Amino acid sequence: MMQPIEDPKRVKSVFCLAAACLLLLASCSMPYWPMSDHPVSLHMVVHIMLFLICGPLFVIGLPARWHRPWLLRLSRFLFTHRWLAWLGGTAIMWIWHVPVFYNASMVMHGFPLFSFFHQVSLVAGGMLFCWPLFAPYPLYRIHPLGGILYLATSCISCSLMGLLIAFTPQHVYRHSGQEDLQTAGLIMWVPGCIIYLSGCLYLFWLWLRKEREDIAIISPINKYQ
Amino acid sequence: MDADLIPEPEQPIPSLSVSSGQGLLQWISSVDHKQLGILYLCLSLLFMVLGGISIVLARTQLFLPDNHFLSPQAYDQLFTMHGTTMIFFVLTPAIFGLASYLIPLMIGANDLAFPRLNSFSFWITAVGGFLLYFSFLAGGAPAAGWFNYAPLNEMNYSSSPGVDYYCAGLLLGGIGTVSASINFIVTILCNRTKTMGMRQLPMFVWMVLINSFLVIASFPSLNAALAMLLLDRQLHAHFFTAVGGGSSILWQHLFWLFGHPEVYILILPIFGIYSEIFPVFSRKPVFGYNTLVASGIAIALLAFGVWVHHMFATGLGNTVNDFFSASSLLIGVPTGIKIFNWLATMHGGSLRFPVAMLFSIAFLVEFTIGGLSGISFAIVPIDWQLTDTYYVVAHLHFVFIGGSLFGLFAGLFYWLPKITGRYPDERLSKWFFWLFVIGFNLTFLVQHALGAMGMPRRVYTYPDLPGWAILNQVSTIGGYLMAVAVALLIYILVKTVRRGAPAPGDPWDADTLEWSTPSPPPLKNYDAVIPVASARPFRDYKRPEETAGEIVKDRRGRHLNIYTVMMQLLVGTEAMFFLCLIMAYVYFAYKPGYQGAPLAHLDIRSTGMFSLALWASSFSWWRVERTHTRMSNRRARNWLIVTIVLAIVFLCGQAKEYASLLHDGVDPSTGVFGTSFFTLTGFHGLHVSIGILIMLVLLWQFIARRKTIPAPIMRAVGIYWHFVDIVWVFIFAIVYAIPHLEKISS
Repeated sequence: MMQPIEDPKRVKSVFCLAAACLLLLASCSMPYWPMSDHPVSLHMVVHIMLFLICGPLFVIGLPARWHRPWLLRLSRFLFTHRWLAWLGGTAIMWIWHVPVFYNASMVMHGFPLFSFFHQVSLVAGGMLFCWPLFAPYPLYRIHPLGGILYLATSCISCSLMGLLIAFTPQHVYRHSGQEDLQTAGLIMWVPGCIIYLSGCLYLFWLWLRKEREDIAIISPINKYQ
Repeated sequence: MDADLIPEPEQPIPSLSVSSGQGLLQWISSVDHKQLGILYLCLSLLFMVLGGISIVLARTQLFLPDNHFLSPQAYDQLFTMHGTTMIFFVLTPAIFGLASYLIPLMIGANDLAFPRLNSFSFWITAVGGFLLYFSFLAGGAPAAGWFNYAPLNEMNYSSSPGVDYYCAGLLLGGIGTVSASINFIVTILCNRTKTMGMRQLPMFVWMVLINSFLVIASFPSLNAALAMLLLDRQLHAHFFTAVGGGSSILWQHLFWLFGHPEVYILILPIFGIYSEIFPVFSRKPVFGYNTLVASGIAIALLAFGVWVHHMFATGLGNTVNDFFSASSLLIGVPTGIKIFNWLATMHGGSLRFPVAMLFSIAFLVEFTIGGLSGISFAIVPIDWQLTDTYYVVAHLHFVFIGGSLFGLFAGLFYWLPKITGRYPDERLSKWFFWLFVIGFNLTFLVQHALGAMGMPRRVYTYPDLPGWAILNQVSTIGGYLMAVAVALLIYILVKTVRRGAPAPGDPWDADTLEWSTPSPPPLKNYDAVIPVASARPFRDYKRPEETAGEIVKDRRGRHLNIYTVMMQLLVGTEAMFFLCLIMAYVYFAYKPGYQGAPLAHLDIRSTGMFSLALWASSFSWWRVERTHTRMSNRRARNWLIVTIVLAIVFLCGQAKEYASLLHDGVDPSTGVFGTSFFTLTGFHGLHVSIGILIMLVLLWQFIARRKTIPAPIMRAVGIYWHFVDIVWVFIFAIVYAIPHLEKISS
């Protein structure tokens, strides 16, 4: 049976998709980061933009006319296996920061196909991660309070990754200076966590709004006296 | 037989008689949440006296300059025991005692979700506390401060067994705290009366809920650090010793990853207490229910992003300091919001001033002072100037006493008529309030000045510099006043229990469900719970004419199974524990001068094979659950045997690898690779072994007793087993696969 799809308002949809595309373009047009003065920090900014902002914007802005049966199946699957979405999204973020992969990406970044794969994987990771929170089918979205837990645990994982990068010795990541590495780790740790925190507060607001809507359909207490 | 040994309780508050089954035995064997709550509070009071005596002796030593009343060693032990006791065995048990007592009453339940687990949590915490104090008899108490910094905590510098007792005591206390938190979360999520939704939760319950998540996320870090330290001390491992390639700073990271959230663990439930008291004694609903909850969530999340401000003086670099200075300033915002919420609650209210309210108002003043001095520490140059001085001592006591302890006293006097069924003596209680508040300010307000003048903390004596002696004397006299106040509190409590005027069920004209029961509540809290339509259900019930707009409905939503939720939470906290161990491994693996050369010793092919056996056991367990749900016990049993065999194959593979490493001379004491490898894989092996034991019990149930095991229990075991397998994916990747890839790529 088809589930009702929530069609975001046209303005919201256009805004979200436009913002996501702009961010994607901005990340592509950034200076070729392995050659910059702060390669790891720049790399981290791109990651946060693509994973934590671009991915969710694409999911939130998905218009109803793009609805396909496989989207419904995907939403249902990720709703029932939300741990997989969490794990998949988080793993993509972690994998790109494992020194061996990071260093390989520095070497490979001259190849446009690789750059494309790198960026697409981050956007896809972000979409996968936030799908159970903002799926186009309201029925297949995590309860907002569960969503807060979903984001909070991810925030801890993000903090720990930031911590490791911030205190990793310089030689581990290719072309990096100690200050650059620290800045990169701290970008992941502090502003990254603030994005998660903002998400938690947004979900809390959504929950309050949902509760108020529920209340509108029920009877007064005096009936029970 | 059991009934003779442990008779069913008959009274809500049993006597202390040893000759009757309703006396002391009843207390010891109790699984009732109210009796365990009272036991928690008594334990906390006992340790408050012990921790108080230790600091009164220490303050006596500081009364005069160049004093020799105590030796340096005795002084070190006393201040260490004071800090450790007050944080882990006074504030924590008191908060958990109130939570254990009140949560079921406040949500319309008859007990916590797991009453025996509640009993386990209490007794293991108590044993942890007693074990810590046993160190005095076993060769010397710990003497490295409550945060027990490395390398001072290592065997070379602290050779007495005190630090070992510190580790063991805190580990047990930590296990008790985590298990109690899991119990609270499951109870709040699953056992609420069906008309109570999350928006109708009393604020205290909300804060305990948020706090419990904070506990299960942060305590594993302490437990991991303590386990590592014990390994360092007992097996000559090298986690925190620079000589073997370890890192002292790692202890600080792990400790403060727990330690900073711990500050909020000790204050969030207290915020909940204030949020109950202010509205009742202002005769108004709490101002900004939603923002109070939201700011609680924000505090809990930010708590994990600020711990490095405890380490500004360790030389982490200006970049790090700048970021954490900013985030530490940020955490003041949600706390400030709460203060304004309470002020707005009182504004325009019809105020009453019993002792509970007096402590709450005093809190607003003292905690704001503590908060402001805390913000000054977020500014790095001020932190550098004042770190390890008495300014820090003043700040943390304004937070822990002016915030947490005042809240506990407020809560105690608020709920004492409910707990005992009697009113405390109001006149004596006010004497207690004023003595304690004056004593507190005398003791700690002047310590701001002492710190600014440069007096370092944790020194057993000081030279006779201008102004130091008089300020220390004022501080010590204040400490004596607080000691007198605590003695008076004990007298008030005894007098209340023995001869207090009887209190009705609702002595304060309060709002929440616990006041709808008689005082003290009967053993079974509720036969029927009044309908809940708002966060003030009892008030709605008492004044139906004012609640025309309120509505009642079944709000519990999707039914959550207590076993599944419990196991998910347990797995969550275990995941944090493994994350800390994995981080330590990675930290060492990329440290300059790392001499692990693990690939020389590790055989990725053979490990890959026995890893496959472990991962295959996840599939076979899935088959166990499927066949079990289809009521085919025989097939389920066969798949269970397959799962156990696969798990044993994995353990055998690991044992073979251990034997090979030991044969090559690699053990936990040979360097950081051995240290971190054996710890990480050893703890995982321990979890696999526990899983096998659980499955053997299930097999025994299938074969010998031919019992059908409830599906939720099978599901819970499944969650645990899949978790163990997933953890091995990460360990395999980090210990074997990535170094292998690095070798290939280089």
